[in-house]
Amino acid sequence: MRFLLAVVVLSVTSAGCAVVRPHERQNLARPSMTADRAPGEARFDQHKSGAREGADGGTGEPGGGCGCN
Amino acid sequence: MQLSRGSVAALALVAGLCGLTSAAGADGELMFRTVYYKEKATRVEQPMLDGRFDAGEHGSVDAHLLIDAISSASTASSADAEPFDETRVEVGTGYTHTLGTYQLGGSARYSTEPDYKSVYGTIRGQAELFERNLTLGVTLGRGHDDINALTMPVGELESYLASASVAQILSPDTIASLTYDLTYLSGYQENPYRRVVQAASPIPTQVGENVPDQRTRHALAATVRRFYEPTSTTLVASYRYYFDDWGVRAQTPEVRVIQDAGDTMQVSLRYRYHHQRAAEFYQDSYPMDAVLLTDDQKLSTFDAHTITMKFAVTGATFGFADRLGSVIGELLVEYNIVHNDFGNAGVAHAALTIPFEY
Repeated sequence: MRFLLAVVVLSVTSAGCAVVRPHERQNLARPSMTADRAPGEARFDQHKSGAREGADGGTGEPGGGCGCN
Repeated sequence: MQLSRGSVAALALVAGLCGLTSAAGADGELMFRTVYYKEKATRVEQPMLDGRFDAGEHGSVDAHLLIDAISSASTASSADAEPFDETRVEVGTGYTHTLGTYQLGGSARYSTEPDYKSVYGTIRGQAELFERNLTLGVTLGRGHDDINALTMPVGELESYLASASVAQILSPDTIASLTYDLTYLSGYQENPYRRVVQAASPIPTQVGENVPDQRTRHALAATVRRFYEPTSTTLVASYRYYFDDWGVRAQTPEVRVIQDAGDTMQVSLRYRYHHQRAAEFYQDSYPMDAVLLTDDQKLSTFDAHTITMKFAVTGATFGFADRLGSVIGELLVEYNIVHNDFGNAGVAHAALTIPFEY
């Protein structure tokens, strides 16, 4: 938790150092840079990991929800 | 009967969302996907439908319906159980509202199968700061599951999720993000069909699985995306560390290379490695005085390699224009090398994304 707080503080304090203007973001707006995996692909992959690994999470989305445990 | 009710509810949901599309000038897309999964003892076919629709000037609605058709040699991946076929239906929907540099949203998900029902809801907030160079997000989730063994109720499970994320633009071609998930589970977490060997000399006996009622899980994932303009290549590298109070520890690095081939084709390669340490109470067999008992392979020490190749092409490749030219077809094949009793697995996806205006 302290590590997470450190990262958040570091991100906030360093944000002013690397400001990328809107007109410089055409590459950042590419689908491969935002979400290269469709919702269904990501959802199935998360479901598979949840059913076959005892260590899912880290996606910001709820796992589980089935009897495949 | 459950399948029928679930399907009707989901179709009504999709039809309702389509009915929402009477306002002119908005965009949306429908995504059809079917997945085939095969491992040593289990086969899954999962057709699914995803929809995303603009809802007013500042809103976006998404919804999905999927059906899991599962055929397995056993109900609990242990050698003695009976073969079974089962169908699971899941529906979900979400809404996101954008207010300048802030987003607020929520989602709901319902899953039903003959011996397991689950409902889950989340709310999410997101803020873009420093000229949208920094994005902070928070998600809170709450779930409730009802578990049966055949037709008899055996327990309930309550789930809680708190997630925080940070994304920072590092350069015009690079963005980094970090996500931390804290999950708390309370209630029935066993598989009611799983049997564990308890070695009572001279005759080993099989007893039901017993794991703690509470579990606190932590997962921290970091991702960096970089676009290389000269070759139109995107590199995605991520690393995830997981630990929980059952003693499971896992590390999962992953790399994806996404190569554009002109404006209408894309090839992706992915490699993922997963290594985990077993839960403290996991054993292949137990002495008679053991209280916590499981031989669930998910809680064992193992590693796994995943190799994925994906090919995507738009309708424009075949000379179509306008909306048809924007339709995306996708094929994905994947192979999982898994060093535990589940064994290796193959996965294949076929998908079609159709954008539209209304």
